[in-house]
Amino acid sequence: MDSIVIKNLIKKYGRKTVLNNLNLNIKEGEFYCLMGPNGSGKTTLSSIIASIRTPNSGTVEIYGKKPFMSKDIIGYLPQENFSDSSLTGKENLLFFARMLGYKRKEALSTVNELIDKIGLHEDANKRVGKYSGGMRKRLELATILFPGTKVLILDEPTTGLDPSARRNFFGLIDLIKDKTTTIILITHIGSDAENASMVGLINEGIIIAEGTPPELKNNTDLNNVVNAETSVKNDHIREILSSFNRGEELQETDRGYKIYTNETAEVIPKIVRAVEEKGYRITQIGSEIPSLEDVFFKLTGKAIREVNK
Amino acid sequence: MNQISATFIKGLKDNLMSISSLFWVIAWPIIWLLLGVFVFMKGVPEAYLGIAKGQTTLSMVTFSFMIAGMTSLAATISEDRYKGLFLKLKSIPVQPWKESIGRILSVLFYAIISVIIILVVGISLGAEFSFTTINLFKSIGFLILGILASAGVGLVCGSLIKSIQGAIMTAVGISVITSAISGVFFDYSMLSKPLQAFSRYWPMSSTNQIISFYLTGNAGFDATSTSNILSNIAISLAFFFIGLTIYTKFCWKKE
Repeated sequence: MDSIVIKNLIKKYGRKTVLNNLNLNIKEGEFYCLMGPNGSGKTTLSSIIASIRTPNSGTVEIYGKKPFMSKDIIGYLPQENFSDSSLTGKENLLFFARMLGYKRKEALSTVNELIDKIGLHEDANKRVGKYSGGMRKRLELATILFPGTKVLILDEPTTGLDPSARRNFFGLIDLIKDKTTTIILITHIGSDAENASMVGLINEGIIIAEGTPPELKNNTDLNNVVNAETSVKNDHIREILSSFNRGEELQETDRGYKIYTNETAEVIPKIVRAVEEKGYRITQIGSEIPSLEDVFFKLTGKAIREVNK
Repeated sequence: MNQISATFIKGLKDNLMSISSLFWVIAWPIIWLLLGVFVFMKGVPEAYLGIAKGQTTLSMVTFSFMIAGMTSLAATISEDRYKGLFLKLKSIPVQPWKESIGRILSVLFYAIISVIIILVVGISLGAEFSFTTINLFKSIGFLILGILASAGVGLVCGSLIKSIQGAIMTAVGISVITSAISGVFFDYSMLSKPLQAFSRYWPMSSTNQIISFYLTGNAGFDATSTSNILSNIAISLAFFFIGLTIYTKFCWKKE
């Protein structure tokens, strides 16, 4: 059974088309990740599902109803930290409970249950201004876990969190997952998307590929990737490394380049030799399993994240 | 009712937790009240001293509710928008008018708390008032109107100015400048003719004059004439409803 059905969705900001006739079905109970670079339309799509924006044309149905008729079953977690830093964690949750229509006593007992669920029991009466980034995100996650919510939309929830806080956050998501709760994760981080049961890659307002993470990787015929960190990044090195690359484009990373090849064992020594012969240095090199970010690059020729030049 | 009370409680806590808001709304008018009483009233004849202190107290009451309505409201709205609270609220079944009412009530309550504190300080410093019970109730009514008019300005500043600092500084600027040129800080008779006209129609200074007339018997002119009363009510409500309309249009609109 589909919980969300999107047909021919178009959204424009002025002359710029952000969603370009997008179609998407998401099954009930699925943990669906919408992954794409900045400006690909993923946040616009999530905000249309959450009834914050309206499309120019096309339809979105959530269990057969329009988004604004489904607000009581949708939980939207925006990217920004919207909790009030001068209030305590518990006061913040009580505010949302009352906004959702809970009476005082009912609100208090529900909030206490939520605080236990997200593991903030000891810090519930501390001001949110004193919370770490991870604690604050967990608190804000609790605002969409009130009973009755069937569709959770998480817009880039791990942005700005350290690796440990990210692991904790997805640990919490694992606890929330069940057969009737649909989770939509918006992200540009490949390792976050690996947690999902289904991934849709979005680029320039359309879904360019969809499948489970292993399916997406298998379909691109990528078994291995060589990650080379170089002493400098310039066109000369790019030219040398391109000769070893199976893809059309060489992907630039923060500290070097990624070379798409399935014969890593033979290729790595050749790469080191070729670079050193031209007077440059490889500072670190190794093979790795391709990520969903590599899959995106292979399909579009574009890096999903901006690279430090 | 739940949504109104939730926004009311949150708004009140936000204001009472904010040291800068407490300073500008309560401490700053009290500092000026103390300066007025101990520094600027040395030459005032003994017979008029109590009433003069009463009028200074009422001026500071006006300044306090102006800052509360204009600046505190503008600050909380622009801050909530900056941190994405409106995005979040738009995704849940909240009725904007209920959120707005809760927000306004919190400012009203906060301003009334500050007014009571300033009145208590003024009376303890020797401020005197002469009024009938009916005039006291009329004054409370006009005080509430004045707070609503100030809230109208705060709603406009908070809704239209995106930067938090910009919204706060604009609201502070409007309250300080209009207080100065409309005779809130000094006698109506000292104003030039155009400023006297402005003073009668600017709802906050007009409220100050009406309350002053009811509670001390002097505002420099008959502030309780029918035309003055009617224009005050009409302009105050217009300020409030314009503010409310702009707030619901800009902070709650779907993009």
